[in-house]
Order: sequence, then structure tokens, then C-alpha cells
Amino acid sequence: MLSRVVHNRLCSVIGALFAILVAAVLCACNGNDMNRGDDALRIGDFDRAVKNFSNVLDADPANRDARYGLAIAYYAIAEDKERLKVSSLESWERTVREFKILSVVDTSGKSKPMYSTSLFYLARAMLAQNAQAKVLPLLDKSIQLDPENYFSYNLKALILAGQGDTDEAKKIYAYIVTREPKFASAYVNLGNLYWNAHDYESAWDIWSMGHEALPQDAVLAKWTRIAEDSLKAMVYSGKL
Amino acid sequence: MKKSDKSLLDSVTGGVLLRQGGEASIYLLDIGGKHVALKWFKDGSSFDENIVEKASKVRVPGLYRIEEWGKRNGTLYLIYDYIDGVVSDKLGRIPVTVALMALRQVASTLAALRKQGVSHGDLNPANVIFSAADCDAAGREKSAGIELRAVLIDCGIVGPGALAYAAPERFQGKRADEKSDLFSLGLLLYRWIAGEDLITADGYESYAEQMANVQDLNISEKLYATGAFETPECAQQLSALEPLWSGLLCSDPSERVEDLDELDELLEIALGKVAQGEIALANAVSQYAKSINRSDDNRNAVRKVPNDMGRGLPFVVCKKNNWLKWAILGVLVLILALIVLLLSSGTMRFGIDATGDQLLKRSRNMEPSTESESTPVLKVDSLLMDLPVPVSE
Repeated sequence: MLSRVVHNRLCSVIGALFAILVAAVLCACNGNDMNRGDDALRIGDFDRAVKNFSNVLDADPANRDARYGLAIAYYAIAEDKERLKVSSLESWERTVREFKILSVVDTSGKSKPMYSTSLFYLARAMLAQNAQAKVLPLLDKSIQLDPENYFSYNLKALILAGQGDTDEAKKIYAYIVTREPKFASAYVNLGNLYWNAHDYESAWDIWSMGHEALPQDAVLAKWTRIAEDSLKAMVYSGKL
Repeated sequence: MKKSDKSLLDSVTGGVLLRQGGEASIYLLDIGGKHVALKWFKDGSSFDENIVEKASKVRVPGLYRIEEWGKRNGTLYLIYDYIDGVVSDKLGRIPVTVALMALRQVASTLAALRKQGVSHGDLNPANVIFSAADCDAAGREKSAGIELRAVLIDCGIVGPGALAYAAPERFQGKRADEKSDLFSLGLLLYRWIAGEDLITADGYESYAEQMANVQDLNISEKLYATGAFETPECAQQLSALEPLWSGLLCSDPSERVEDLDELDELLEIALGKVAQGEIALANAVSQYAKSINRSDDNRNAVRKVPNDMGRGLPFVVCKKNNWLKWAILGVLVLILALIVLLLSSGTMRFGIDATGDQLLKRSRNMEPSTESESTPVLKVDSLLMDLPVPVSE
């Protein structure tokens, strides 16, 4: 009887707790596709991630997390193609399209850096296919989305320099190395501009500055040494 | 005495005194929303624990369900499931058919007790509760009628029990047995039918003497004298009852019916004579059950138990062991919280934002600028493929 009394009293409490447990389990079950997509992403099974996130979006097209997961999966697939040095233009177009949809449902702004990088890659892939492609608007949007995406700045400067606007390109490179002193390519490209303009002293200044900031960078080391040797030769020959 | 670390008395949340008798007081207690009856014995009264223990193992509908017994503050007590019904000593005269049917139920319960080697020893109208249910044990619909059930309580009292119902040999100090119970059943049947005791006396000796000469009484004549059996139909009833009186109310146990089975046969025969078919019997019982169900004044107890611990309860509720209940609850809650936490962490993990951040970080992890044999005068389109990319190999 005592056990029955205790049992009766506990039953209601246990019942409530059990209901909470069931609710938690149900929530866990509902999130299965999301979880599976997330798991697949983190282990590199991007095609499966696309499938799982798509399942969630079929039921709930405005699901921000699923939309973000799908965009990330496309991003990773495109990036894999970059590594394999195969044409990635189509993949980046799809990725950028997905990020564009995501930007409508995502008010947090957390996806902007990756969207920005996708635009950089798209611009780069378009140029790889057609050197005359008009990609500056993409890069401007990329920079607008993430002002710390120096890859987009760097590519923009490179394109401007190729179009003859070396002054603007120099400003951008200078801006990059000021904000991100470890960005080796900006030093290399800025030094190149000076070198091509026969301003070997300025080229040496930039490369040596980069070499000082990145002593392990072989390219900067090489061109710093070449510039230094060239300057010495010029001094010895009386040209400087 | 039932062994238990904690008495039910310590779980009581409310109680009320139902009635006081010569040997004990009966309380209705609320224990966790469940109603139980507490029999709180007076000094000098006691029960046979062996019989109570055996009776507690008998689970039949016609017997009260004993939950606990023991001593509290030096006083014997017994707790049993509360029976919502009317104690038969409050009922007055009961129709013969109903009384015979109720007695058959009591006899059946006694037979079940006999299988455990238990004789009741104190059969009297105060120890039989008439309980009316809206449907029968088979769960038939309400339209099938109201079932009447005679529930037996209070086994194992030490002593002859209620003197007006005790067999002659009980006055000689003999233990209760099947024969003495059969004798008491005869007196009980008379009480139900007549609405009054067959034997009334002033004291123990007087009762003992009258019980020893009970067979000299003309029971039918006494019943007729009550004025309730004057019609021809009643004469037939009196005639049908004769074998019962002669088989039960004999001072010599050997002259009584052999056993409860034989009594059951006699009762069946008597019922066959007084009841005009099974349907008529069922209707009569149902009508009677309805009538006692309506008369709330006679009910065994109030339905609501006041949530008042201090009002007249003969014991003090000891709550010191409540920590155990809360400890168990606490552990359960903790386990559940851990399970929920585990499930939640399993579903949330780092979240899609964290995955995106990880991927972006890996993507933008700048590698050293690529080694190039080309001179800085390379054109833009050639330089493109040597750009540092956000990919980390």
C-alpha cells in the first residue's frame, strides 16, 4: 500500500517529466535531417549534405539554417573543384545563387563573409574562362558584403592594374598590407607594379617589407634578393 | 505485524472519525488521495495477528483488503481499503431475497477464508458492509442494474466477538471455527430479515445461557410476531427459511450443517423458493441497492476527507522520512535533465553557423604566395592562376 501511495504520488511527476522527455526526443527527431546535413558537411560528404538540407527545405523553404547549410555544401563542392583545378564556374554560380536566396531569409548577417568569398571565387572563375569578363561589380559587392575580404581587394587591384589604372591599384595594395600585413600576394603584386615601372628601389622597399613581415614566404624572399642584387649592380655600374 | 520501514500513518494527509465502537474507533483517512479505513483498537481489545496476516493474503471481492497492521504508541491498529457502502447494522429490515443473496456472498467469502485456514470469529451486522456499484464485476453497462455486494470486514478478533452473534461454544473459550461461523451466520440472517437481534440479554452469562438454548426458539414464530410476515407470500418465505434455522441455529455444533458448501446449497434452495426467477431476484436486489445508495445518511462515511491532520486523529503523523521521497524525485529530475541535455547537445552540437565559420576559416587560411619563375612583368591573365587563394591544402 505504501509503495502504491508513493507510486501514485510519483506517477504524476514522472508523467510530466516523461512528457518533457518525449517532447525532447520528438524535437531531436524533427531535427534529424538538419543534423544529418550538418554531420555530412563536417565529414566532407557534401553531396549527402545537399540532399539532407534540400529535404528540410522541401518542407520549409524559408528555413534559414537549412538554406545556409545548403549554400555551404555547394560552396564546399565548388572549392573542391578549385583544388582539383577543374572548371568550377558552374559550381560557383550555383553557390552564389544559393547565398543570394539565403541573404533574403538570413537577417543575422553571419553568412555574409562566405557569400563574399563565393563572389570572389565566381569572379576568379569567370576571368579564368574569359580574361575580359566584367567582374568588378561582383568584386565590389563582395567587398561590400565583407570589407575584410582582402582577396577580393587584391583581385580588384590586379584587374585595375591590368586595365592601366596602376595608381588605383597601388592604393588598394597599400590598403591591404596596411590592414593585413600578412597578405603576401599584395606585397608581391605591389612590388611588381613598381618593378614594371622601373622603380626598382620602391619595388625592393615593398618586397623587403613583405619579406620582413613574412620571412617564410619564398616568393617574397626571392624577389627581395633579386631586387637587392639589381640595386647593387646598378650602384656598381653607376646607374644609381 | 506487517514489516514496513514507514507506516501508512505517516503518509496521512487528512482524516475524520467515522464511528466509535466497543472495541475500536474507525477513522477514514486520506493517504495520497486514496481513502482507507483505520481501526484504532481500545485498551484490552486485540486481534490475532496470524489470522490477520492470512486474511490479508485473501483477495476476493467480498473481503476487505488489509493494507497494514501494527502498534502505534502502544495501541493496536489495522488499516484496510475504505469500502464505500452502508454497514448492515444501519439498514433495519432487509427483504428476504436480498438477505439470502447477501448471505450467500458472505458464505462464499468465508469459504475463501477457510482455504487459508481462517475463520472469521466475529460475524455480526456491523462487520458486513453493503456496497452498491453501478455496474457489476464483469463491467456490464449501467443499464444492467446496480450490483449489491456484501463485504466482510474485521477478521481475527480475540474473544467471542459480538455476544449477540457468538456461538455457544465461543462462550466456553473455544476458538472460532467453521461451525461457530455457521451459527453466527444464522443469527446474522435473522437480524437482516427481522431488523432486530434474535437474542437480547443483559450480560455475558445471560447471552451464554440463551445461546445454549437457541434451538428451543421457534424462529418462524418470532418472525411472524414482528408483523412483517403476515401475507401468504411471507408464509411461504418463512417456510423456505425453516431449513436454514434448523441447520444453523443449533447449540450443538455437530447438529449444524456440515460446512459452508452445504449452507450454500440450502441458501440456493431457499432462494429458489422465495425468489420468483432470476430476473425477479436481480430486480429485487437492484431495487434494494438503489434504495441504500440513495439514503446518504446511512452511508459508511463522508465522501470528502477534511484535509485536517489535527482533528481528533489518535496518532501523530511522522513526516521525517519525507526526504526519501524528495531524494528519489530529485534523482529522477536530475537524470531526466541530463537526458534532455544530452539530446539537446546531440541536436545542437556546433550548429550550422559554427560549421560555416569553420569552413570559411579554413578557406581563408592564407598560404604563402606561390613560387613562380615568372618575372613580375607577367600580364594580368597569366598572373591570375598564381593568386593566393583562400583554399588551404
